Amino acid sequence: MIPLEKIIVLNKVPLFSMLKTEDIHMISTIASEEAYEDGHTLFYEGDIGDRLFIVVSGEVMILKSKEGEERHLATLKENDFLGELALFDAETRTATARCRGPCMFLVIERNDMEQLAHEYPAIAFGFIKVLISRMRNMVLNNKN
Amino acid sequence: MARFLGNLLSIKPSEWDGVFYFFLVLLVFSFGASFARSIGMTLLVQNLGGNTLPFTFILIDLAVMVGSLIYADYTKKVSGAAILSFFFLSTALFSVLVQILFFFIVSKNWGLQWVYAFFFVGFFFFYILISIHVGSVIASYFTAVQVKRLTAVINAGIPIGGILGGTSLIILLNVFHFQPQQLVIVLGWSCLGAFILLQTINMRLSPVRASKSESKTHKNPFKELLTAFRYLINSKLMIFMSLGLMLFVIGNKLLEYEYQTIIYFQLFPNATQRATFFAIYEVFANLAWLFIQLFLTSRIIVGLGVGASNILYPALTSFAALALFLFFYLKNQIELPSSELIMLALGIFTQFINQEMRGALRTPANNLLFNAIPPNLWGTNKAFLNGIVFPLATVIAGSFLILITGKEDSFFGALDQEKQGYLIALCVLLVSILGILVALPQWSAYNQGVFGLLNRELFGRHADIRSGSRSSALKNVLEEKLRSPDQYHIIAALEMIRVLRLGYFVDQVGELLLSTQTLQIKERCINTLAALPQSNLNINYLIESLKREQDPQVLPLILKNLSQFKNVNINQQVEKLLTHSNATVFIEACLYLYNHPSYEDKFSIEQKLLKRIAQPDNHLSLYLYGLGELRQKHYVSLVLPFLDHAQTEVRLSAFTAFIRMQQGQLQPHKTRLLHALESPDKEMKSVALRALKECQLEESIDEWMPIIQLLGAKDRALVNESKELLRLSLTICKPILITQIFSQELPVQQRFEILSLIYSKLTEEQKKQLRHNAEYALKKFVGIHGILRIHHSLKHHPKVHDLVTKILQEIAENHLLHVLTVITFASEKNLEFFQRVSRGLLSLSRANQGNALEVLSNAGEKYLSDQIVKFFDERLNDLESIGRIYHLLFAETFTITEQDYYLYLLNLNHDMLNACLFYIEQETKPVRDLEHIPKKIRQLLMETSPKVEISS
Repeated sequence: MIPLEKIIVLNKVPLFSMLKTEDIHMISTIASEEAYEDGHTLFYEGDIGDRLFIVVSGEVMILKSKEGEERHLATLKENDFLGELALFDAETRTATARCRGPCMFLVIERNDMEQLAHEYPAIAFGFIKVLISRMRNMVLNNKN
Repeated sequence: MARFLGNLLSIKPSEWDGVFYFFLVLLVFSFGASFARSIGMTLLVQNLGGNTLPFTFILIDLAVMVGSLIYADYTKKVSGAAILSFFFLSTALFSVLVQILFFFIVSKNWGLQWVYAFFFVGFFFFYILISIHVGSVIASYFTAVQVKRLTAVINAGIPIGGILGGTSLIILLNVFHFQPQQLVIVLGWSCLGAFILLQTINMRLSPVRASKSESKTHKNPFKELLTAFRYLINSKLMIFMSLGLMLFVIGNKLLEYEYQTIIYFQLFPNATQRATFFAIYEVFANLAWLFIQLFLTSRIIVGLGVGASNILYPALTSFAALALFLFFYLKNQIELPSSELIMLALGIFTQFINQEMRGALRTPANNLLFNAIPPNLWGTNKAFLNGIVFPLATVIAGSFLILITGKEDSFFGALDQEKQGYLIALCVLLVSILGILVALPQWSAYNQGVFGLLNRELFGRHADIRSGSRSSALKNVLEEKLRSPDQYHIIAALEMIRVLRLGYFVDQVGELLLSTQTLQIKERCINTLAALPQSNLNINYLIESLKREQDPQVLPLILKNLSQFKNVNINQQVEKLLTHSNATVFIEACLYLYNHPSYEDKFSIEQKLLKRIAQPDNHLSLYLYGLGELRQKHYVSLVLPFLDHAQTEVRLSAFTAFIRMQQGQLQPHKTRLLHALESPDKEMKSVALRALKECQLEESIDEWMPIIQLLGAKDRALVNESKELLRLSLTICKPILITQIFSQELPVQQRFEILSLIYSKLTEEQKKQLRHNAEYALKKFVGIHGILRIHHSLKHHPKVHDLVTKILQEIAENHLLHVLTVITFASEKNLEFFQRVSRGLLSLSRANQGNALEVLSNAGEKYLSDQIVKFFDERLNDLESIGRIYHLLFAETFTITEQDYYLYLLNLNHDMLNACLFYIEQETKPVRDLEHIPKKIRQLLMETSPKVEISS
């Protein structure tokens, strides 16, 4: 992918959509492109998370183990993202993620993101805005 | 027709619905209220006698006071429209009940005389509450700027309803010979009509400002009023509004007495003559009110601003009072020719100001002051003003009138009417002058209030007021926190002790340092002890902890803080740490000893450091830092090779050491320092900027440009450093800065920072040029909005569509911020003003936009502010509306069409936008050679890193 295409993809991801194009450009410099084949497990439930995955193409199944069996929770598609909390802490993954068909991702490592946010606080502030907006929605949904 | 009326009454097409329905609500309600008012007064006086009037007034005031308590409570829980609906329905039901009772009284001869008083008190109770509340409901459906413009038109419903109601009543009584008792139901019908209209409003429109509190916790009514009182004593605006209301009510009551009892009573001793005069007066006065309301009120308020408009009413009253005073005083002294005619003219003039101008000017202007109060507090504060302040002022005015008009044994003795006339007028004059004096600071408090609302902090900041001994409460809280099992509570307490330098806690902090095992708490304890006023106690605790401490992360911190106390000699103890395995402990021990006045073997310290630098070690940057802190110039040659080291940390330490070793003599190294400003590392830039303060820079753009560019850095510390450097050499760099600010391409932040340095030093011609450039930026801003419309309608390239939209929005935003920067400085405002107004205007909330526009319209710079207000005041739904506003603002035709849209995008000269355009072109046409396009654009279009492919 050329840098502009990465910017186009990142701009469509809700996590980054509130950031300025200049900041998205910065993030695109630390986003690497990765392709996986059908059935590849991106991570297992309980793994330590340190990467954010943005689905560029393909589908990803989110699975949760219950009584030894994997149950399908959701399917993520183009412009969805997974593992966003891994950008901020090193907690364990709460579910397993597996590719359904060939998939292409943009991947951001926590260390790179931390360094970028340290250099450009506006980016960190943009994330805070997005997370707060998501938190508000969750609170509102709970209320309803 | 609609366009003509819209232009005449300053109503935008998108506002017609709201204006029309609220106008109808007021008209319909006012129609019924005019029936009820006349019938109520007539029946009360006829059946219970005039002497019951004072008691019914007291009852009304008491009922309103109690009602206000409950009302204040509900404004927090229920939406404004729901409360108004409830009031209308309740009034309708009340009128039905009274109508039934009147029916039985008349037809069955029931002797229920109290019903007349019940109707009078009940009607006025609902009437006052509706009058208090309806303004809040209307205001919640419009922004602060809209409501200022539209309030007069909407309120015109009141006099029109009054005229129609009065005329209908006369016709029904005199032509159709209805009895007054039979017409109470008209109030019910009109309230029901207003209720239905309100439901229609609810379905068709949505409020832009929510008056209901989002909080789930509600206080009881008394606590609500207590809260209002707390806001009042902490908000300048509310204090002045309360004082203003009190003075207004006193003046109003006294003037009313003057024309009703003294003037008209003398002129029309016969009751029928008096009633006829009133009927004629009402028709003409209401028409005049209507005219003023429709054509003058909003123009006055928009022209003068809300704050200044509130001065007009007390000014008019003082004028009337002065005229009355002079008349009665002269009449008392000499015989005036045709004094009856003058008296009549004065009576009409006074009554008109007191009654009609109150509705046409004071009420709308005063209601607009609530723009500066958070909408969720409107109800509580209005309840406080009308439920507490208003009755209190009525009691004061009433008591004064009883005193002044009393019998011979009263305080003033028996005064004849002429003496009463000029004495009362004199009092009104004084009260009105006080009213003007109160309105002046109220004006500035209003401006501050609207400004504060943009940050939603003005009121919140003072909301929780503690009582009792603050310091002892703080002490108790801190002691409790220091004992807390939660480490964050302890850290918070330590931070507060450090910031406030509370020496009282030295023992507790010292003991905590010796006992805790938590690293973060130890660090905070050491920093706190070092910050507290110097005493043996805090030094002893630090020394004791140095003896006991083993943690290599804590030891350097203790050493660093102990090095501040030069009178303490613990060199022997520290010398032992020179052999410590941890590099940071070693360095801090070296520096402690090297800088201690009584330590003699400094050479050995230098040798130890040099030895460590010579050995390959991971802590090279630390040793270089240590060497630099020794400040010995002869070691410069040792440091120089590390300036180009591969590791950033080493480069930075070497650079810092290099500067420290120069001991301030940096002029020969100016080029190296300027070069460091281009480093990607911000620490390096920061060090270089600080060092450049020691150099003399020349008046050359090459020398100053790297520094000016840092004014746009994302890191605030860098901005401040570069600004400080520019300020120190302003006489040299001013011409370069001036050249920069006239560039249209200058980034917003850089422009702002440069202007903060030089705006006051610009000539009038240069300031004019700045405003001219800002107007050009505004033109671009509006133009890009047009482009955005075309872009949305085309949707040619879905892949880049969203990104192009965002880029265009950002470009437009930058142009707007350029204009706001110039307005900020032209209005002598600060960064806070700029940030709040820009946040408000760029917000998606119309309420925030409205508040920002209101702040802008109160700013000193008028021309550009008005242009922005005009733009944001429009609903720009299509290209045609943008073309219209473009023509209105710049007297030019908006010429960009779908055909030249692509060319326009290219001309914007934006790298990412151009990359998007090339990208589109690449997809549709054969591949073009990217080598010929600018580097920055090429970088966005060329593959940089290979794709990682992993099979399952």
